[in-house]
Amino acid sequence: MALGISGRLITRMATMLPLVGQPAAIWAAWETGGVPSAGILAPVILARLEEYRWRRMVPAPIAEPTLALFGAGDGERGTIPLPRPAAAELVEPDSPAQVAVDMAYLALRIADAQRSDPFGMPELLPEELSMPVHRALLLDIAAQDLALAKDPAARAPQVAAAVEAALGATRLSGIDSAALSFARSIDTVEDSTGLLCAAVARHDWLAIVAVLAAKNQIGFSMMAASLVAADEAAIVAACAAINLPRSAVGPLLDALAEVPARPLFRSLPITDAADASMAQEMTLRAAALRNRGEGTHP
Amino acid sequence: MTGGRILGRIDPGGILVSADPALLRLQERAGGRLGGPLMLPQLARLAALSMRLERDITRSMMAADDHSDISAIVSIVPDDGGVSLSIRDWRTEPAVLEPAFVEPAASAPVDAAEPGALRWESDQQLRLVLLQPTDGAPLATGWQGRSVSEVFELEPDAQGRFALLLGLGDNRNFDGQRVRLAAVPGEEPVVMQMDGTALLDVGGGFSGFRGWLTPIADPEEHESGPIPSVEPMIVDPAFGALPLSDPRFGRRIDGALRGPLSRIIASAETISGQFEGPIRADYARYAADIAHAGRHLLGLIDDLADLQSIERPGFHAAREPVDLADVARRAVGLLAMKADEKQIRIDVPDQDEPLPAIGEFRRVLQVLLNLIGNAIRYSPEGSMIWIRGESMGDTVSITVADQGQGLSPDQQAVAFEKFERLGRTDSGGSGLGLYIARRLARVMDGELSVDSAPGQGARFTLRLPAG
Repeated sequence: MALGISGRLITRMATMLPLVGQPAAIWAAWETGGVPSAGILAPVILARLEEYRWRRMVPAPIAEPTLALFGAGDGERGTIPLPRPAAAELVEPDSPAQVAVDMAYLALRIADAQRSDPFGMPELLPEELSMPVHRALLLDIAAQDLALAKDPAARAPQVAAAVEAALGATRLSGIDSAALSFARSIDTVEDSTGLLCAAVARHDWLAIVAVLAAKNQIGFSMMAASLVAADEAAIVAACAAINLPRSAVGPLLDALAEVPARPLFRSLPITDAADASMAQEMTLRAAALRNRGEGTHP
Repeated sequence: MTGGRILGRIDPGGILVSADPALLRLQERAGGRLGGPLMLPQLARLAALSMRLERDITRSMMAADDHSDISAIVSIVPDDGGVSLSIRDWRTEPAVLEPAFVEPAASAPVDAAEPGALRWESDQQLRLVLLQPTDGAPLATGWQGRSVSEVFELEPDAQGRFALLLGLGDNRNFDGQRVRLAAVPGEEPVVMQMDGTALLDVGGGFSGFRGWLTPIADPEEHESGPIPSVEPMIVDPAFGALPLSDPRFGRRIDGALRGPLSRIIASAETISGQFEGPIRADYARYAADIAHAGRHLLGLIDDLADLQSIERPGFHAAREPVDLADVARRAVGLLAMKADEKQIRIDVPDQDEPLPAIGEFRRVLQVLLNLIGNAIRYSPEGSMIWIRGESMGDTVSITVADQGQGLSPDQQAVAFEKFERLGRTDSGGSGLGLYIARRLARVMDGELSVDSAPGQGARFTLRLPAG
């Protein structure tokens, strides 16, 4: 599945550039010949994979609700399963604030649904990447494609400009934007802590990660990765920012403990601060790309 | 293994020093061995945690090998020489391998690989959160957050049912829901088949549906079967060339009314639920009234469709073995929510008291749904309904008794008449339910009768041939 996420990401990024070959050919070449920036790509891909696996892990409902029917005094007699309860909504849409939460949550679900391919497999969208990772991958893609060009030296400036344009066009991702709106809407509700506790009780990690990401001012993907990677103290500290009581943090910790590859992510950074020197470095990389001319890829 | 538990032991250095066969097999499949480091990361981490905290830990764990996923509950007890493992509820399931990056047609379900297929997802209010073509074809925007019934025109099946709404009512998976999608204004709408998997959270709460929409190549083939040709008789100028007596006339009326009514109900519910934003409370109540009236009309259409079916010459019911007690329990299950709303308790026949009869399952269910539904509707809050079965030679019977107002002898005499509402003026029913129920009972060589006295509740009894 990690290969699938990588392939979809690289192919999607390749479509942003004016390539000589087909976008899918980049990943096909990397699959056989090795991924140039594997060290950069692997953590973000595995983080997305673990987020997917974590959020997909839904323990069986605690008990099947039953309607107690009356018979000859035997408690077991005549019990039948009740229809499942109606949706445990975040809030009943009564007040304007609650309606806003409802709509923001809907937008969050819509944004989250975009983070999968047409067959339901998880995707990592380019705009979810940090700038340095985004830049490194775009340059690798461009370099790979340049190797196919008849006149790489002549083509390099055009590709470098496209890389710059693609990076320049990067905006807040849909999920990050929706997470921010959702967190803001939660703030306007009187019992916001109660709502978040209810979300934890439902294992609605989408809502929890969104609010945590907004409050900790990092991207949704990075927040999910951080939760998967962080130790208990760090998670408790992150949850303190949203006033989540310790009693609600427990189920979150328990659910995270189920993520099998959690120890692998201990080294991931908890923050994703913007790299101020990115533009300069990108220009240097693009210039190097231009100067190298042909077949630059190792 | 002891008492269904799988045991093992890990020393302070993380070495697996002893293991029952199942645990050892998993360790070996993970590339480890007895006397080597424990190669199951989650278990190793829990063991290390238990040693560090010097506390017993009990957690669920998951592991996997090449061809199976394993879930279990592990209890870890630390001591001076390491930790002891005791694993219970060990469950092995075939692994569902996620496809890697492969061409869509190879990884998709057969139907979903068809050109024009869509993946869809909704929230618990049936608002669309995903609509995605599997072939990468562009899709018009504007569907986001809109109700399924706004984007698609839902079509009933041959029995007049909407699989999607049945699934929604029970929060269960559904399939076979026909829908029409107006792709481009002015063009023929695309007819599609919709299926959905109910999304349930950890508490069993319903949070929406996720599924596929696959285009139907030849929609006519998927109709409820070929419509027999009939001799032209009385032609109604206002409704095409179909004679009023033609069953197709009723079916067309039925279909023509259901679509708009469903949209009216969905829109009114959207307004009354204030899903698009807050509105004045009295307007919300008006919308709720509209939705309620719409549902009543839809119920009436159901009844009229049934009426037309059962009054058709040659109408008959299948003769199949049915367990009346089982059908009664199912009917109660379907109506449990309504009963719960009024805190009504229902006493159903015991699981080990079968009542074998001969009849058609869905018709028997329909009769019992009507009887139990009436009992709930006309019983006071907090009261009780009894359902009792009895076997009498070549006949079996099932009785639904309530604590409602009961029926006078005059009312009992007309209770099974068409459109008879026994003087009630509420919007609870069409007055056709009992008429249809008795007709169905008689078609199955049975009978439906009532026994009641004012103030003492009513007892409706369905009798069928014994199975």
